[in-house]
Amino acid sequence: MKVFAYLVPLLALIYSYPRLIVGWLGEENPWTSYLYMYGFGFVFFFCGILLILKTKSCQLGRGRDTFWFNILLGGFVAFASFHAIWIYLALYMPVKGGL
Amino acid sequence: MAPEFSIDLSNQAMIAIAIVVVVYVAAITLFGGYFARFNANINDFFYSGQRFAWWLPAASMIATGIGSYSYLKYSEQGFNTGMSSGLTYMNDWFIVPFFMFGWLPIVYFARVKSIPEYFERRFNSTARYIALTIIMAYMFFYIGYNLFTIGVAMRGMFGINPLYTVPLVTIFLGAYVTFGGQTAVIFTDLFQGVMLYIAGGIAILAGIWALGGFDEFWAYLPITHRLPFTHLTENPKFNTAGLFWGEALAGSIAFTFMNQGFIMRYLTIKSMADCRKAVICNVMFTLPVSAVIVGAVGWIGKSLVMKQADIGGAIPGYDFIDVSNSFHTFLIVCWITVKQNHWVFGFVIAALMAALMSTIDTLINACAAIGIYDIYKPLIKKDADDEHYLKAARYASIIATAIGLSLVPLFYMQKGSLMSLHYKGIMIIIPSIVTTIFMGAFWKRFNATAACVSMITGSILTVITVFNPEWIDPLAKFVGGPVNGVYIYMRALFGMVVTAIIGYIVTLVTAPASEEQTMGLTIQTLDQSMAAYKGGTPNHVPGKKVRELVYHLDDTLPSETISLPKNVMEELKAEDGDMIYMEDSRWWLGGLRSLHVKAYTGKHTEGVIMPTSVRDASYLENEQTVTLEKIF
Repeated sequence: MKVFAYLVPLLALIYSYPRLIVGWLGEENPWTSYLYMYGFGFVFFFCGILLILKTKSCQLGRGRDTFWFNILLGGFVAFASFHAIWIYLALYMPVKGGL
Repeated sequence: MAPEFSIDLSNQAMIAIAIVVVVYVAAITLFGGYFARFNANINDFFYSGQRFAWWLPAASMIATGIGSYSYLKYSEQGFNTGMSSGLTYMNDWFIVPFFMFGWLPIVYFARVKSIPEYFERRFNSTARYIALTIIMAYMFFYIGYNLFTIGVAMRGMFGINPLYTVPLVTIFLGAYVTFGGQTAVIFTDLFQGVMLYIAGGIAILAGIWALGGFDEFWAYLPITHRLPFTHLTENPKFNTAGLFWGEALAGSIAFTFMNQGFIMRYLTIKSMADCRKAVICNVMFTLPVSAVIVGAVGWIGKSLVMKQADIGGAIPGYDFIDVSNSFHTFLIVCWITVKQNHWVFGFVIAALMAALMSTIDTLINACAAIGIYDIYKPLIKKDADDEHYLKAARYASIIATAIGLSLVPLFYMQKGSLMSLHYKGIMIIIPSIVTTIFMGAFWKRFNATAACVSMITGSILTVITVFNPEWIDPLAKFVGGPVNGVYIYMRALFGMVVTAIIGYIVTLVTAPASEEQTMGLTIQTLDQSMAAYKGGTPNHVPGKKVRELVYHLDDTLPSETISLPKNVMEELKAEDGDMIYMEDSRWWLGGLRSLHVKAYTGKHTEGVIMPTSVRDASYLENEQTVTLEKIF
């Protein structure tokens, strides 16, 4: 039963999230693709973070685990920021080659 | 689809290109063959004795990750859909926590030699051979696909039937893997990785130069082609929703978790800390840079075509670019932008060969490892000496190469872009096994019956969707993906979901996996695994490296041990019996001459004392100093 307590909200999220962003921005908008990738990506990544902490595979304060944990979080932020800046530059820099 | 001849080479150009390619391939074969001397036993042949510093396997992964198919496939995709072609190289971060703190330490500390072996230890021998079948299908698919794309390139340049070129190339590249083993693969890949970046860089710079600079390139690139993401659902064969579920999850897990070639690279590394450095380097730097190297010629090609349309003809000083056969985007754009210079183009083609060799050598070595550890040793000859297994490993390499070669005609019978041909196959093969690996590694209760039933049923149901794609419709609709009947990536999601559901249900109705079966093989039991690896309680206190110590021999010491002065032990933060990594002080050897030993405090005040057996096993040379590092 415990698993359903997690599963039902997760399925609700998977079903409603893409509809929410498509309804808000439209399918054509490049930010919709970005939010789809990083929204679901964050859910998966966050599950991984919870798992490694809960199972004590990563123990903050042990050896260099804290360092690697910070790298994991920083890496996610870095990739998300990098792609966001890329979309911004693609949309707002002058174009000669059409749409 | 038979790609036709696409660039017009003079006889002189053909000879120049052929000379560069043959010289290059011969040099690499000799270079790889040199490292055969570092294969003292079967463990060295496949795993190089877990001795290397992180940067050496990490750098060699550049060449492993870029196949000959990468240049052709991503340039074609880049020309058609733009910079989103690089997405498959830049969406791996989501799985990194699972890999870095889960799967990697599990296989590393459990000293798992092959992924099927993990299945036997975690589940049973039935699971092992089901997994072996799927993994071998995956590896042979990659070998065949690589050879197919080199055939495409050869046909595009020379118009020669791949029936002749592909077997010829296969014989050359099989040679150094067969004799050199993993050490040869790592060192040649290191060299070839540099070659790939230089050649890719030349092709990119020539293209940017032809366009008149980066500003012109960017300005002429349509907005759709500038974006890092493709449309969410529009293109049935390349859309963001599908790419997330099929490629970022299933594909990335397959490439990092079950690609025996990559796993073996990590297993050559000296410590878990260095493994993690290699992971970060690979995902954060190597893959994004590689995405640019292999895809940029396609982006440049699109920009050039747009500029030609704008100015009403060819760019002054260059031939008109016409990409009528997109299979050959890379060759056509590169040939014209280097102004038909035979030698420069020959160098780029040699890099294409390098890409092929560096990917296939890893795959062949990995297939041979599975062949020896999972088939030959357990089923055919259990107790032979190392010399026998080394010989068998070389035969296994030849057989793996031949099987890959035999698959090439199948690719010629398919239709679609190079990218879709690739993923069509991969997305059928991987879903059930990546899900089973995931459940086995991260869910302690998951048992052997569930693993076997879910792998078989999941695979069968995934294959059936090829003939009944409408089965995928509800799932694709549920996750907001495209519902179009042309499923490539969504098929992987379907396969993962059905495998997980079946695995979950079967686990619940059967007895949980026993403690012995999960010990050290799940994320929950990693502490026991580390203790077993060390042969004692791990010491996690970070210490410092101690460099440039002279060594002396003393054969009264037990084997696999060294004696250190008290001050050195304190600097290392080591206690008696801790595992120490000892290497030749020349850092640039990357651990080629090194060994893991146990350290004890001696009464002497300087240097390292070791028995002759330790000196020999670490390949240390006389008069050389050593550097020490505590592992744990």
